[in-house]
Amino acid sequence: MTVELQTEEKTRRRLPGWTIALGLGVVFIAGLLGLLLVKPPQRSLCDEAAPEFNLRLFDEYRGNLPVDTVSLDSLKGKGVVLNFWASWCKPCEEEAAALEAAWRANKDNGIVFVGVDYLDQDPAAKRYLQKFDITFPNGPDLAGKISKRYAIRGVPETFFITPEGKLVGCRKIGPLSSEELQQRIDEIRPG
Amino acid sequence: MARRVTSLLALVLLFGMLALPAQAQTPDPNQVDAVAKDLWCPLCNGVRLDNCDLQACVQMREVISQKLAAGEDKSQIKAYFVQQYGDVVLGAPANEGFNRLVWILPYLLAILALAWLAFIVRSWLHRSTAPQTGAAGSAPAAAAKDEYEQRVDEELEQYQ
Repeated sequence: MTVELQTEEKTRRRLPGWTIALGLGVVFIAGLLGLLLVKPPQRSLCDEAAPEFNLRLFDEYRGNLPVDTVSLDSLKGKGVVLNFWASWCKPCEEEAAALEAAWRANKDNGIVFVGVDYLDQDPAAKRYLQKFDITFPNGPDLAGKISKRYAIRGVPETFFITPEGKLVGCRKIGPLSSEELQQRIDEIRPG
Repeated sequence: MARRVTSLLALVLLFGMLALPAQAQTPDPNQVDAVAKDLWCPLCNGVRLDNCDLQACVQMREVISQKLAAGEDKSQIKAYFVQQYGDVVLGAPANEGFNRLVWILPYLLAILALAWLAFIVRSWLHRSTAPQTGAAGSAPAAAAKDEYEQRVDEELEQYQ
């Protein structure tokens, strides 16, 4: 009699399959919502391999590159100054002249400047480039793909990449002075 | 003199007619806002483009105006901005691919919540009716109860 009662109790305790499935569904959805709420830590990107990028260049702003789209891989063997900017960004204007001067001084010494136009409009961006007489390769960051890869915090921001594709030091946040720019360029100059 | 006046009037009329299509093509601020209110500032959190005074937003409205003047419709302009900035400019993820999950999840959650509620109510009802069905439907349980009651009656009789 006791055995019968225990068996009955066990049957009552066992959960039906659909209840387990329901529970798993709830856990799955809670997990997804948790992923949405928890922000992944921002990448610091210091002294590590530079993320690959593909940038479609503005027609009139290809610098000395004979291509429509430039990728980091295609620039192997050259030191790369990757500068994020926007036409609506006032601090970007402070470094525009220094960047262009440094580009002109270093373009024949294995250094490539690449300007990435962040969350901007082509007409305004081209007006900006014209205003500051910028001639180095520049292009729009469509859908913010490159800025997401480089996890930029704002503009201007500049990365210095060695001929082997490695970032030297950390990102430079804010406008660069001519002296700092030259010092950082010396660190990425091909040997 | 009359011929000169007539020629002058004809010239004015001609220039007026030439200027008319250009004026008709230039969209007014309301037309620009009609598109801008469906778009969001990509640099700010939760600010609609028609309510944004940032330079970036002014530039975006400028582009809307140019595109409307060029004869593009609202969906074409929105598609252009999505290409430029991504889904963030729509203020919500696009209902396609993996993003569809964001649109489906609330409904799925509601269905699961209802199913869970139904399960709780069902088990609660089952528990409250369980003793009755157990007495009527299960013969060994009923026999065990009879035997137990019989023993209780016998023991009570002994004390009386």
